[in-house]
Amino acid sequence: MNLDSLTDMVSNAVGVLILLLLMTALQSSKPHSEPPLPIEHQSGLLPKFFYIHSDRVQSIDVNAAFANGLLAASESTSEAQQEFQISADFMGQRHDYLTLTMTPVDTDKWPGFEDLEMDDTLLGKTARSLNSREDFAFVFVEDEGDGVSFQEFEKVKQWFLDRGTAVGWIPVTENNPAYLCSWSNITACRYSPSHYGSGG
Amino acid sequence: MLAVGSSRKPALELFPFISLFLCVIGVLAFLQNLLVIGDIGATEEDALQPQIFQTAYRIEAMSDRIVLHPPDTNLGEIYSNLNLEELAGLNSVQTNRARSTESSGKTLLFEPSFDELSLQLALNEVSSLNLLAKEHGIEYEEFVLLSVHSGGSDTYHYLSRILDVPTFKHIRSGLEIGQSDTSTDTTQ
Repeated sequence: MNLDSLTDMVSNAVGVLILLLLMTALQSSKPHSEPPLPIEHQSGLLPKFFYIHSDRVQSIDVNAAFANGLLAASESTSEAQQEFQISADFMGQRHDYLTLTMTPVDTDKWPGFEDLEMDDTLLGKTARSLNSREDFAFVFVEDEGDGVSFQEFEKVKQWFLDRGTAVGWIPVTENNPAYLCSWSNITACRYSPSHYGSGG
Repeated sequence: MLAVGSSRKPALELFPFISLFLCVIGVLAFLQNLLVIGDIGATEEDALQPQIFQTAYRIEAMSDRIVLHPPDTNLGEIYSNLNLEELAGLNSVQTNRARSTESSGKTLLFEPSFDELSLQLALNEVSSLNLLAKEHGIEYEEFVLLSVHSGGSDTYHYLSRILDVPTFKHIRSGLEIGQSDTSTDTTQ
């Protein structure tokens, strides 16, 4: 039996496959020319909220915020805006049943960027529980004028993007505080992702 | 010369044909697998990434000023088959923008008085160009990229409110942290 033809065919096939593998490897090793544009747009992903104050980061429990807001509303006798405790980390101000603003408190006790990796903190648990196919991280970045919060945000953003989680953000100030809305169409309550990771 | 009356027929040899056939099929199957894997990646990415033909009109938001950076796109190359009226409008936008790009952006100081008209005109340009592109089926869209500097967050919210009015609501926007080396000290 003459094996010449078989050897010829097999070596040809192997050669083609090696060539294809090389081409694929070369193509995938090309660096991306430009980062994607940070355009905000509609998404089916759900926001999970975080707040950055200076070099401190904290997650926000929206359910607790609204539960406490409703509790405060039910105990209130006046129609006036009122302050209430959202959690140990935030005070809230109710504007109506669906909208509230938040201000951070006791930020010295807040975790930092390094705690995103820790499972024993609320921040770490929340951050690591995000499912990139269902959730995105929405970060309120407090602008104190020194740029520290912005630098911290860049680190936090990259942390999420490296895990394939999309990120949206908004700068907040005393005059323009962080808004949480159960449902509302006001601009401050439109949470959209604008940065996307390349996959976890 | 063939022997007359020989009963032996030549053996049918399929070996090279079959091996060649299987070899080609194998390579094609492999190629198809590669393409399918590539397509899945591309589809997932497309679902997440914004469209690539969008061009940024960058607006820097600082505590005391706004700086407009129109894109230096050659609009004449992109917009073709326009009527005379549209062409005149396009040239006007191009000339106006050329002035801004030459001077590293048009700065609008808040004090002593803010030139809101220039801001409105800039947003009108973006809006008109997008509308024109849509009418002519041109794949070009400008979006406003708000570049927020430290201390400029209230300015950002001011700009967001302007972009939220019905006239400009259809303009897409983006948000990034302003880099200090991109800020300019030029005055209007």
